[in-house]
Amino acid sequence: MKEHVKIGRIIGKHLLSNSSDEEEKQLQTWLKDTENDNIFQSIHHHNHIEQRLHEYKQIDTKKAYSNFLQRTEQHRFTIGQIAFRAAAIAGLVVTVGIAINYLLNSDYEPDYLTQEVIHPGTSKAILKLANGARLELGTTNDESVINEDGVQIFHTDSSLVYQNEAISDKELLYNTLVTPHGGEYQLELADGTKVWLNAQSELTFPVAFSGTSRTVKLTGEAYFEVAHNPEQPFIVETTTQQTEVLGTAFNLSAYPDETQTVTTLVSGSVEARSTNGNESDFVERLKPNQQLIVNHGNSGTVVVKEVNTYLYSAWKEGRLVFRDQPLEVILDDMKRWYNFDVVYNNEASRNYRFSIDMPKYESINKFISILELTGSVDLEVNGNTLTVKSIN
Amino acid sequence: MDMSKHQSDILYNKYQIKHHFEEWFPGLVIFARQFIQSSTEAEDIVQNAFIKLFENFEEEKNLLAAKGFLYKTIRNECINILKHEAVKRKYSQQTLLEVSSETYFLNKIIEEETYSTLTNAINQLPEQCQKILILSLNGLKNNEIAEDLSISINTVKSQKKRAYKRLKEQLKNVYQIVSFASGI
Repeated sequence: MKEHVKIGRIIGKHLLSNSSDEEEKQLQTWLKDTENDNIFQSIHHHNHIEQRLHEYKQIDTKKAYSNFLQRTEQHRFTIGQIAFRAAAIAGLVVTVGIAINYLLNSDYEPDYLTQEVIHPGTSKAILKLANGARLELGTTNDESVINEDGVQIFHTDSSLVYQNEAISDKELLYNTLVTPHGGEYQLELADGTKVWLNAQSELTFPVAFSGTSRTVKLTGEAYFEVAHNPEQPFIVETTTQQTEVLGTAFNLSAYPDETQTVTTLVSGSVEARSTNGNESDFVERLKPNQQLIVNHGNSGTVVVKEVNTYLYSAWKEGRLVFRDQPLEVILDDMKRWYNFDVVYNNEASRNYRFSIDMPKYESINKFISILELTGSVDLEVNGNTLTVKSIN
Repeated sequence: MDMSKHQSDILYNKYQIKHHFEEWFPGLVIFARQFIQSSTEAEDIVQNAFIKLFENFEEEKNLLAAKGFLYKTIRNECINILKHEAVKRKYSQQTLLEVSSETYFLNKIIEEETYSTLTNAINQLPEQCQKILILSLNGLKNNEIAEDLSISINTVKSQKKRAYKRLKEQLKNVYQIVSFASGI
């Protein structure tokens, strides 16, 4: 059946004169069968494309989509447990020097973990309007429209979209989107720029952009897909750094409780410069796949290196990915999403290195049990606290 | 690690189904209507199939497999309805036999995939480009299209060129999906 989906797509591309050589070859092989050729001829000669376009417009896809969102939103709570069981079978990839792939199919689960207290995060945030009003997002299934100084704010499920028709010269009104522990949210700004705000982060932005630049303020972590507009550069301000972009996709992590600010460029170009007089001054222009790390310690070192950007943007695709990272770094990041505290009984274990690539909507239990099976750490969950114990 | 695979061929979690809902929904409704006539009923069946995919989601599902799952679920549900209500709906036994056959099902998948590839791509084009392309797909020559739309033949040529260039961009994703799945 997959093959039929595939050949249909190839025929579509063939008719649009847009098939590749490889696809043409596949199509010609397929057409050698007379019956297949008949199907092809009938699609080709009874061309219903006009009627099809018309029919497409008759179908209310928007309404069906919002219906689908509502129904799945309810399910998110009721079938959570079932989803865990199903997902647990294929879920996690953890390596500690040696391959432990055989564990992927394991149903091993320590008894004490059966009562789940630590949950993965969900789409939730608080929106602070210019007049000081606070809206809690992600708790209802309602689609709503808010009007802020002539700017329409559409709210559905897990995202906010700002739309303004007319450009105003008035003083800018600012909104702030705040995600708590275990929350994330998507936002489309008035200029079309898309922002994924990670857990425990805050973004302040004007409801509409005017003037010579588009400036927003970030605390925490966000992934930006900036709408191209060379006339009005897009600037992200964090406490110590200004990052200026023309039109690009990049990830910026500037959590106040961390010792570094990390800018990772996926595509386009950005220029980052220091704004904090106490630290060494820098101006760095990044190329795609480059990462800028600014350490906030006394040394204030600035490093630019080539990275696999997937590792730093996978969170917005619904994954938690770490490549050869110390346990402490991994757990600090997990803490923001799962909302738990960590106690290390064994100091050395902070530096044990792991590689992980797992879905972020997964229960934490499987993660814990597989980490344990590596034999290098022993983890205990007590209420909201995860204790890392020594292995004797 | 190949990035393009991560972004286009695999659904990593069930929430990513949402990204494909709007692209897939209309075509699937038309597919359902190849079995049952009622539009409302067809829309409900497709909606339920998406929910079923969401609820039974398996980790790292291939996009083609997800689409296949939807086709199968929709078709089975339609056939169920037809069987139960054949008498009431005045379906002849022969019609029922024909639409229940595996061949009919698979042919309709090919047809629908062809059309949704065409429709989704063409829908993105500016209006005049759309008109020219549709006439061209209907087999009209450049001079006939020019006459039909009362524009110059050079306009037809340049618009066609523009259309194909834009289609190339849009169809890039489709290409990735196709090239990733091995063999037909």
